[in-house]
Amino acid sequence: MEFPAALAATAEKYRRPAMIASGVLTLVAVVLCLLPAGRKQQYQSIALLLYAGNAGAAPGSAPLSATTAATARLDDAHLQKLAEHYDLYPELRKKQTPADLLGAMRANITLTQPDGYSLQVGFRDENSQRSQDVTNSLAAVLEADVSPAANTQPLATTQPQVPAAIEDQRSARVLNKDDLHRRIAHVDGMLKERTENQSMLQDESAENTARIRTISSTHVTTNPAESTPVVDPYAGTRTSLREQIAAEQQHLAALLVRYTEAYPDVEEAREKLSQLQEKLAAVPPPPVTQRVRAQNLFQKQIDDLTEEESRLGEQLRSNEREIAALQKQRSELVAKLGPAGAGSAAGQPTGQGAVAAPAAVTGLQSAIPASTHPFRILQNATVSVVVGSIAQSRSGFRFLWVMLAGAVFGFFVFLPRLPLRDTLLLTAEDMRKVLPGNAVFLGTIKRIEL
Amino acid sequence: MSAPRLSLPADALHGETAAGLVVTATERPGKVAKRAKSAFNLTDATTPLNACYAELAKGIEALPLRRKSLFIASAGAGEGTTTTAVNLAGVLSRTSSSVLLMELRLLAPRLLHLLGDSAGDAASVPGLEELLRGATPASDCIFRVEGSSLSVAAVRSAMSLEEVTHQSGPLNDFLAWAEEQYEWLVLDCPPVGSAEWTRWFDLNADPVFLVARAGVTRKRAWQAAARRLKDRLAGAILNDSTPK
Repeated sequence: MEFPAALAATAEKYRRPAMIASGVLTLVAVVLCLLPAGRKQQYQSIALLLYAGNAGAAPGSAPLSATTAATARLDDAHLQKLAEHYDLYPELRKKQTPADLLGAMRANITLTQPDGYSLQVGFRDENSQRSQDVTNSLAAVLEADVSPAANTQPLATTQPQVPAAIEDQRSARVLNKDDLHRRIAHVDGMLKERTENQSMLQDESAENTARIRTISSTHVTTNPAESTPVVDPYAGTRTSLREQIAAEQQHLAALLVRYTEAYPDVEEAREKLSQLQEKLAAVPPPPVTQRVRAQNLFQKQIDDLTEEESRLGEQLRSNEREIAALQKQRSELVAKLGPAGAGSAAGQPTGQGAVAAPAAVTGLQSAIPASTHPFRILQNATVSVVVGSIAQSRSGFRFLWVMLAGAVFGFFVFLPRLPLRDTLLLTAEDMRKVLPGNAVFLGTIKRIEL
Repeated sequence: MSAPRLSLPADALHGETAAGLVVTATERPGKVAKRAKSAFNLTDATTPLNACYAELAKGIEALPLRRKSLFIASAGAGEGTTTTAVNLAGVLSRTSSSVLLMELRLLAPRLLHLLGDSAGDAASVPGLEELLRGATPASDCIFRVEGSSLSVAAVRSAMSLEEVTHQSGPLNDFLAWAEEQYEWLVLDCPPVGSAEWTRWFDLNADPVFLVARAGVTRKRAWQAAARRLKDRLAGAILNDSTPK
């Protein structure tokens, strides 16, 4: 196929800029590809906490978000202790100031609030175990009970404890309780849904088990009509042929002891043997009884139902786990409401019925002052690998590949036209070098100055 | 064959005093100052340039060629194709009974300009384009150089590319006729790979002699032209080579 002239002209026109662009792309792509290899692999751990709201917030003040509250809790003293305990950034601790150390640590801490009720706290480190441990410690710091004085220290400017505002604070707590009630109702709704799902799965499982039993009992029931053996009219022929083949094989073996393959008797024996084998192959196979077919069918049904049973069992177990988690969440929410709130929450209609706050939780709730930030760990730290480069994001990786492909394409298209090494023909020697084998060099016409 | 006999003027000699055909590479006035002139004197076989072309002609005569039509081409413009073709035809005419120098640069004719169009008498001879258009018989568009066995078929006015692509039939006929009439045919061809190098050349140009000019022709361009010609490339000539 001939390259279109217009396209060729365009390619020729933009050859040089395309070559430059292609070269730059290749260089950038290679550098970006090499960058991850030059960096140490990093691990990101994330723990999930439940955030119970703004108990104790001053009336009229803006509600504190979970991240703001957590930032306030993770003060310099806590971070300093963690850095020493886990021996974080030893180089920085030796050479830099504590502020630099804390800055580096804060840079690796992530606080994200996926919704209004939870907080994700994360820590990035080169060591996966240390990353996980620090994250768990951070979560523990957030959850741990602290004295109101110590805890309210960073927020003292925003939450002044003025006696005149006590009534307003009480109103704020009432509002907060309403919020907790709403959350409990939400959890109750989810519980109801899961419970209904659970009962449906249980019914289905029971039905399945009953069907397996029915099929198994049918299977073992003996049907006199079916148990009658089916007569095979070719059984005798088949047996006779097998015997003849065995005898002929023995005869052939005996002949081969004395003679070579070319001996006429050996050839004859081989021919006879092959004829017998052909006859045996031509005999119809023994008939499959109806009973065997039915057995196979029943077995298949049983296998299918057993598989279905195991799938349902797995779903049931998963559902049970979800229900347990929801019940735990509800208990914690009820515990936050306090004894009176728990009573009112128990009175609300739920699928499971109201779950009263456990005594331990109620005790914990009463132990936490209203001014502290009520975090509760829902999930301990989980680790994931992070590479600190463009490759850490999927889109970045795609971009990298596209750029590489573009660079390679550019080189393949334009490299043959690159006149980097295109020199001028100057001498007969140059001419001989470029001359193909089928042609001859006829000579040179000398340059003559007139 | 009834080709008119014309004589070319002595003022085309550019300093040479001998009568007859003299070709100088002065077709590009702007470049003359930078490039050394090459001159060939048909009547004086003792000039150094004459000796060069004589050697060249001897080499061509020694080649086992399929036909005696020599297609002189180059990789690019300004590499001395026409000069080489004219001088080669002149040398061959000295040893052969009849030689026809034919211009195939139908889009950009240069032969008459190079030969010295001011001769005036050649103006009465129709150009090759008239023959291709069917306006004149083959013999009428050929003129002979006085005192030699060299005949010339030149293009007088340029044709369009569209016109050229539709003239392959008459061109083939003329070529077949000329091969019968003349011992040697020297054809001045356009650069290989240019728009002038039409499909007709890919099909009919054989054997081709590729000309290069020292210090002007690029290796890659020359190799590309050689690749395109494949086994039809018979030989190579280097112009303007600086003597050591």
